[in-house]
Amino acid sequence: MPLAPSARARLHATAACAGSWLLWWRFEHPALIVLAGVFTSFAVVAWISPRHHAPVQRMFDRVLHALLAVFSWIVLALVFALVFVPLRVLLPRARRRLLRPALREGSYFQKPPPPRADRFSRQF
Amino acid sequence: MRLLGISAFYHDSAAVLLEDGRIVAAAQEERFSRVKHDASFPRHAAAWCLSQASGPLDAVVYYEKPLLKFERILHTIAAVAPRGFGAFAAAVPDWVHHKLWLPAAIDEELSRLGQRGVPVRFSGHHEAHAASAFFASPFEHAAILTLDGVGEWTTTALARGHGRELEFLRELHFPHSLGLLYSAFTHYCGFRVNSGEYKLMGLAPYGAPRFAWLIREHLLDLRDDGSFALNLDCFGFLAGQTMTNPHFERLFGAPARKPDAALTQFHCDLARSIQDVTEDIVLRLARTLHTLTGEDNLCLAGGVALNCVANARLLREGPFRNIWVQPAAGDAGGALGAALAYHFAQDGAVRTTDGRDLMQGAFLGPSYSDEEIEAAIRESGLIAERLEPAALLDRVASRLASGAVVGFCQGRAEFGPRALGARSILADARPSEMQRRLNLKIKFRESFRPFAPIVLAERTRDWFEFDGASPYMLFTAPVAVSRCLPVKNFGEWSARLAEARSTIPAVTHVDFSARLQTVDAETNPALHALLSTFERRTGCPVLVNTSFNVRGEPPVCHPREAIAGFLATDMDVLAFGPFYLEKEAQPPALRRAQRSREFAPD
Repeated sequence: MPLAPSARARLHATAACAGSWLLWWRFEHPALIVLAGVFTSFAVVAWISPRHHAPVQRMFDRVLHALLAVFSWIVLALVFALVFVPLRVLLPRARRRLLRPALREGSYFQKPPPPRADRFSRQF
Repeated sequence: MRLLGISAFYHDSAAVLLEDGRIVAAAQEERFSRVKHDASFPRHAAAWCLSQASGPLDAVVYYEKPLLKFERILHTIAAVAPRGFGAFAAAVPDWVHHKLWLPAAIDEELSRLGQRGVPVRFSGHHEAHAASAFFASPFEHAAILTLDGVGEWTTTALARGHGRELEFLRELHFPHSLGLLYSAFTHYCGFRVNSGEYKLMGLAPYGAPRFAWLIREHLLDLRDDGSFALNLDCFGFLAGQTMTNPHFERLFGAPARKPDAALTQFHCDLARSIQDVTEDIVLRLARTLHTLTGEDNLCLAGGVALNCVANARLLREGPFRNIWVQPAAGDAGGALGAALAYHFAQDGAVRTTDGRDLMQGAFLGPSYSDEEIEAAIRESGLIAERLEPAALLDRVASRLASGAVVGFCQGRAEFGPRALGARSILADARPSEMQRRLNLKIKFRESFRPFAPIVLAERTRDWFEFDGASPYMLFTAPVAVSRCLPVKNFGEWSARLAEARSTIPAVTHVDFSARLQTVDAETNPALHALLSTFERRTGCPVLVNTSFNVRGEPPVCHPREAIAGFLATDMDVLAFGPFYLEKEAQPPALRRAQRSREFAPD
């Protein structure tokens, strides 16, 4: 069941707060304590008044969405480059068949295979 | 056996309920969602169809094989790589998230409608088209030709139907597709693909086929038997998101037209050229099919079968004596075909023909009770009169004769792209300014677009050079010579627009043709009675019939949509069921508020 908007805001803000403190504990960089302080303030606002936290939540959502979009494009590009580009090199005949169908006895028609009895149960 | 046929996730999603081979209900999702060519799962249409069912479903039949289609997409991406990343990125996420899990998605949607655990079955895309053409036809046996953009792999199928059997004889495969070739020109001329093809067809008579040789020479290798291969160097749909590419533009010496740019004689000539080539291909395919089958009857389906100019030429010059075209020939009809194909593949299914088709005039959509219509009128604050049927028809005929434009909504809505008199705008075809008025003030669309006539079936030959019936507006016919007027203007296409060419100029295209709908008393008694009343008053049994919608919107279905359309346009009268509404009688404040609406391009 999806979380209520207020519970979702509290969960996200608390997770961000915990994550930033974890980062500071691990690396102890001065900038990280500032970040942890900011996220702690957001978490406090989210717990006390989720309504006032809403603009921050919207900003978080946008950033998350942008990160996921970038991640998706990277994954898609990798799949395309590592799977489909090599396939193009490995399967030149399949490419030729697609772009130029075989001309048999002066016709481009193909004879369809006979129908299978179980064809309606199959997605292919 | 109770079946729900479904087409979805490409364009024109629809649901159809079939009970023991009888079509109980059929509707497109766009009529409920109000999104033109809505491609989403047809949950409203399915819910309405299920509300008409007399018991639980035995199976749901989807109109294509999703894994075969996905295979085709992956194969294409592999063939064009390293180009085509855009097409890959646009298609694959949607497939991975939704389309590969179709049985689960359908099950989830149907569970929400109270139908849990119904088995999901899959028909082939062209098997669905062929079944929608043949099993719904009045023929015991026939040749079948299906032509569309693409389904799984097949783009064109030649088949034979006999009793409850379908036999596929020949096929052409993606990317070599007549539908995609026509759509490429639709895109190049600045119209929307899968929507603007009929505009291209309407533009063709203004042009000359001066590019037909170029198309035959450079864009395709067409064989005598109608089979062909496209020259893929000139098309963009394999690797990109557009139909054409710079090679195509270089071939014709101009860039693709922007949707809001002016149409010129060049575009008319292109439209005419591709129309000629299309007709040539269809004729060759039909001759091959006739040779293979020896049949006298032909059934047509697939998006290309909505090209009524090609259908008419096939009827005139082709080898078949009788042609029946599925009125929902596009993907919406795939939902019907999928259910029919599955039904007649079951042991014990019996198919009988009595000379009539299964489509019931295509009036298979929702209807509304008098109480529902009255409630919608009351809610809108409009003033209506409730009339007896004869009085209503008499009043409407009288207003039509005086030049009024009438919204006419009676009974069940149509299934398929054509308005056939159940959700129509009607007008007198005789005034010379009627076409322009309807285009610019009622439909808010391009002024070149022709309107279709409806004629009493028994008077067809008096007004058109056409024998037989055309109840679904799927054939064009020349206006009778005795009704034509001499042509005075032979200039630019835009100059010829305004010239009256017959005594019914609003429905006479520039080449003296008309996209004909014949109306008989048995299938469409209300419209037949109206035409008869109009003829008694005027001596003319012909009216203009166009779909009741405004630009960018699907045809109306519910009374509240009809009321919104009535108020948003210059329509004079609305007749919905027994209720009669005059624009002049309505409160001025309501009329002013509604007319400020903006319309999306179509």
